[in-house]
Amino acid sequence: MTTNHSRGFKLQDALFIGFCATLLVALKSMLRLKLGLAGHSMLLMSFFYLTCYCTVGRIGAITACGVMAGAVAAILGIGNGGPLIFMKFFAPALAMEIVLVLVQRFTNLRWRLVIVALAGTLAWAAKGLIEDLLVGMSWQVALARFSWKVLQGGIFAVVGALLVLPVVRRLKAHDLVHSESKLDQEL
Amino acid sequence: MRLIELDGVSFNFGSRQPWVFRDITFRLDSGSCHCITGPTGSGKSTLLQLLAGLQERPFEGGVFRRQGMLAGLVMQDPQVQLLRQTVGAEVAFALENLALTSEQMVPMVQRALRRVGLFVSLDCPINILSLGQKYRLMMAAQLVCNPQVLLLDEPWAQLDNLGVQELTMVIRGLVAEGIAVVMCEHNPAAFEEVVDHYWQLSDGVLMSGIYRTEKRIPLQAQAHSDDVIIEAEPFEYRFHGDAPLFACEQPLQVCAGELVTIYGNNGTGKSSLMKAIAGMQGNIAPLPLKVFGERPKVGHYGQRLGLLMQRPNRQLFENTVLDEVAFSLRRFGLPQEQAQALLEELGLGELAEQSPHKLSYGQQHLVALASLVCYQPQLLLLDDPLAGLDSEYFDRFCMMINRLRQQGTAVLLSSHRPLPHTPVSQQWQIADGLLLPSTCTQDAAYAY
Repeated sequence: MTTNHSRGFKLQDALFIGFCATLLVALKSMLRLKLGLAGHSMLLMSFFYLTCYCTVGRIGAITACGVMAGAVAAILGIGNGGPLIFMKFFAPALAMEIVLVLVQRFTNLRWRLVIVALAGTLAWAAKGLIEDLLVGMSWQVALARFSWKVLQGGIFAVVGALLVLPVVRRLKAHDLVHSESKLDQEL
Repeated sequence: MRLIELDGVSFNFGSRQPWVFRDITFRLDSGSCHCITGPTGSGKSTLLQLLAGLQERPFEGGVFRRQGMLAGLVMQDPQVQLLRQTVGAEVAFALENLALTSEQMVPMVQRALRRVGLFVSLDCPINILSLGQKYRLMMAAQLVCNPQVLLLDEPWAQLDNLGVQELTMVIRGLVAEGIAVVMCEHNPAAFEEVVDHYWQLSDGVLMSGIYRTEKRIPLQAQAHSDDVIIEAEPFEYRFHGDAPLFACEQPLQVCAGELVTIYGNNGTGKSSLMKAIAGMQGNIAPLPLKVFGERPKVGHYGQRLGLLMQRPNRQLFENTVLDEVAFSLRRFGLPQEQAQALLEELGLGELAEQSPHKLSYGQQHLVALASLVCYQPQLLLLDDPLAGLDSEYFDRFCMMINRLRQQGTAVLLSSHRPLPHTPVSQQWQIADGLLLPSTCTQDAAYAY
């Protein structure tokens, strides 16, 4: 007997990652929300990254999505970070991926997603901290701004993470998620 | 010549899911015609997808597929395969991908359409075709590439009698040319002239023979009341800017408790009439039609009206079968516990936690019907509800309809052909541009 297992991202997984990355950047550029609330961008970021992970069900999906989103944003000049815009998308993705590997065997899926989203927020706020220090801001002010960003970004990131499961369950009900991973059984 | 061979193939939809089929062996040679029978939801369509090489989920076992072999698959719901806006573009899609010039494509497309008996212009928009015509269109879109294997999923259910005759001739010609044909059917007798191997897929096992079950629950004859639910003066049914699709020269009337069948060939206007009665058909000339004493308007009737669409997946949207049925109850403020009880009564209890979107076409029909039956509408419109149902599921269908009619529900049911041995109170035939109603007396009904 033989079994046909594939390795790496399948075409449909790669397309879905690209779709998430593109939609994330497109929404961010089109909406241009001037809410005056620091951290609201973490809502879209945590939602799309974690949807990507839950749908593809493989380690590496978030990083791939982050790289793609960062590259698209840098090429199209979305946002006001210049070339550093790449880091804005990539750093949270990488942090989320690393924490995901660490917490993979702990707690249920919902809490894992929340923890991973918070990790992404820390990375996103840390990027802001480095920028603040590079422009000469004092440690005290930079840390205060960092803490405030973590708090506000964390709230949005958790909301984004909590939206993931209902969406992915609906995708699964429509037979759009059929990876043979442990994650698939948890949904 | 061996084209496809399955050797000990086992398949399921996930590591914790039950096996759809186990250790099956199947060989397809050129110039042969196979018919796979089996109960609703037994995995026939899944097996066809596996043969076509479209099944992306992991499976166990060996699959041989001749190198360079081209297989064409027409799914049970042809709508899911449509890619383009017009008939010509749809059939030519594969040819365009082969970089043929338009001068080369046109005669090939026309020949393919003629082979399946679809005589419409190449510019004809697909969205005005009936489902049966779309089935023929998809067959043409496959045949235009001259596949070595043609896979057909339940053609009888989607085609009228003329279409079945034409398809039989097409299959005979294809088999004579050395093309292999595999079809899944609940009515294998319809193609007995051309089928040379019958298979039955049941409980995950594929073996020779025809799957048969006894039909035990008939649709019952019922006395109906004088409460008029639908009434119409003579009318012409026409889309804006088009010639009349059909005309009705006599007044129509449907009373509570009646069972009315509407039958006619593909594209005669059965589904359009159903939608007009439900108030969903927007681009038509006004009809002198009243439902519950009012002009039909979508969303106006609430709990009083239920419409089962021809493609059941268009009205399924929840994550589980139980939620699907419970949604209707919740919407009309009815006790949601009835959902589980109804599913158990219909023998669908085991599907309660499954996704309705992953069920077979026949199962989806029954689930969609259950979601309408549960709130007991006074008028139930069923657009070709029997497609994909085997005898056992047809029994469950009859059980639901009998129960509703006992409570005074009027039922309108459309089909490609008259239902045999069914005690209907009226038959509306649409043929040659005319809707011809005929009333059946109770005596005639019981005489079946």
